[in-house]
Amino acid sequence: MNKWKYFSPEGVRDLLPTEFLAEEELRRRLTEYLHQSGLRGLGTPEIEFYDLYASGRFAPQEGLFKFIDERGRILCLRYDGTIPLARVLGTSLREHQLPDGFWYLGSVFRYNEQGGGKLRAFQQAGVELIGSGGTRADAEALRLASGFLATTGLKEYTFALGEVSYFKYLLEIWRLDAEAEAAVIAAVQSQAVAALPTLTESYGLSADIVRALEMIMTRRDIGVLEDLSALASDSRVREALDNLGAVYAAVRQIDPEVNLVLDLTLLQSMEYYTGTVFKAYAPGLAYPLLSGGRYDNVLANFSRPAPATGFSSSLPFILRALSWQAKNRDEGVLDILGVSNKLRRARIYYALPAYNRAVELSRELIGAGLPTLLDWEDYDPNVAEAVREGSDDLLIYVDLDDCRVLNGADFEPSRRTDSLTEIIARYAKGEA
Amino acid sequence: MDKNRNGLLTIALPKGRLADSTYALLTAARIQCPNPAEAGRKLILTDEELGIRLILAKPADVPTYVEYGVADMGVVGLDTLLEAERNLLEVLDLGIGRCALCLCGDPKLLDTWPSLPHKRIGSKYPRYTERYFIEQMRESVEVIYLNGSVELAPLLNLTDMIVDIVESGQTLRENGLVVLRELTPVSARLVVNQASMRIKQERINAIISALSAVVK
Repeated sequence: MNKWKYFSPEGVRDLLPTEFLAEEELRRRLTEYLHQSGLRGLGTPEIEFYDLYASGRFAPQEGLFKFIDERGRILCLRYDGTIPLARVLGTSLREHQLPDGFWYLGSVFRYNEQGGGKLRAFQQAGVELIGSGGTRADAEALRLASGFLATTGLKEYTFALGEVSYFKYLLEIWRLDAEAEAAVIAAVQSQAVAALPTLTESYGLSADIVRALEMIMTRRDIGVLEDLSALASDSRVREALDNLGAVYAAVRQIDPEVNLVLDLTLLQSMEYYTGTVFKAYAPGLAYPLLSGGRYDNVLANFSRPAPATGFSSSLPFILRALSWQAKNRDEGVLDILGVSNKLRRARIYYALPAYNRAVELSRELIGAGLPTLLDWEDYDPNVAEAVREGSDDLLIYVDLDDCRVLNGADFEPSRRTDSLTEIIARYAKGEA
Repeated sequence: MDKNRNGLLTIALPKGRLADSTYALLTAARIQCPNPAEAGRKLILTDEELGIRLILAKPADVPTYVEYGVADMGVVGLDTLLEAERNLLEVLDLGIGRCALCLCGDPKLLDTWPSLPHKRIGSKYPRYTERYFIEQMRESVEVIYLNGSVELAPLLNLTDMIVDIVESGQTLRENGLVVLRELTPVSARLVVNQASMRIKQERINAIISALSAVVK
């Protein structure tokens, strides 16, 4: 049983101290933002019944980590944040007054081959606005998503805003057979304008359909909504596109600075979403770092029919985008997050009789804002010499009648506590 | 680390013939970029002024570079694209590098191959082959992955048939094999990273429309 002992399974990884600190700070910022937005936090277990996801086909069966409990029931690891939350709203919170907004942050587990880093276990945060349909809720979800990303310290990101219901109505009108429909959806999703002539030929698409598809795939201006409505001449298509236009205008008006593009090809998860959808992209990241949209049919599956919209975002993706931004600006992710000084610490060596003094000094330093490790080795000047060379820590030696800083060319070894305090203050500020 | 990476548009080209024909297309479309023929052994050609960087990659790796976003766009044969199963935006048929993915085998199998009970197929395209038989024929087949000279497989009785690209059919003929079915026509495609498409929209769209004007 030794073969795999040094390895981690595919798709999971360790967080080394610097990454750990970065993710910790990111989580802190997001938690604070979501809390201050007046949303209610909600936690669900890492283990669920398989039926939770299977009942509404909310996850592909090959995407779930599955195992069997002692009564023979199929269990799975939490695949996302939304579906468990919908279950809670249909059960424990069935009397909770809606509309209301919720947030979650926790690990999700997926067997997937996608995701840039192909991660199978990662932290995900999300927001769900439950109980309201309509433009205002859609725009609010997008506004919260924009604030969410701003909180992370990311400077460059672009939101793509789209819709799925208009396309479902178009498909109803077009009455294509199943194979043609699948081909058309795939082509639109991958913006394969190139495939249009072949599609037209293979499935005998009408000129109107081709014109609509071309419009959907190539146009990104706001005028496309009007032109497409005119072409479709169906009130449901018009309503869906009007709503999209209104959401677009609302977000633009709230935040003229936000990079927002209209994109009618965002048809991923068409079975799940029912209206407005959006994704955020950042340079250096091959996948969206945030995805969201309206899903009005999900809660009915848990006996609590209610319109809903929301978004989720994975922390490793945000960190990856941050590290791209950092590289381009010659700084570190910890600098962007404003926590680079958090890696600083003091390390106190002491002579055994001075134990009490050392503990006292460590409390003092911690109180002054400098994390302090009380070293448990005997102080050996030779070892300390070697340690001094490679250490970023502020090394301090304490015995009954001495207390001095061991490293730092700028530092005068000193017995006087007040100059020690000064040195420590300088070190903590990052000047050393 | 160059600081203008965000401003650069990175295009991944497959080394060799396809890179040269792509360059010809770009030139015809009046899109200025470095000439891959002058690369020598260099793998990256950057023109800071034009803000364009070319990556010369192994053809099968182009979809990977584009999917991960280290290249914004790339040129790749449909055969490679179908095998890679990457999440990319396939925006344009460049009409170059034309050939076909075909099921080939002994002439005796011309009419009888569909009823072979347990089909063993040799291919450089194992995922595509498996998918084709599941989706088009509702049948699971045994695919044996081979790196090249795939024609050997039926000759040595390793497999009944092969799936490979066929251009002139010369190699097939010389080894006594025939095309049993053409599975799909192949040509080079322009693919774009889904994030780049939204972030660098204007530049990418300008290139797509310029190219589509010169592609027949």
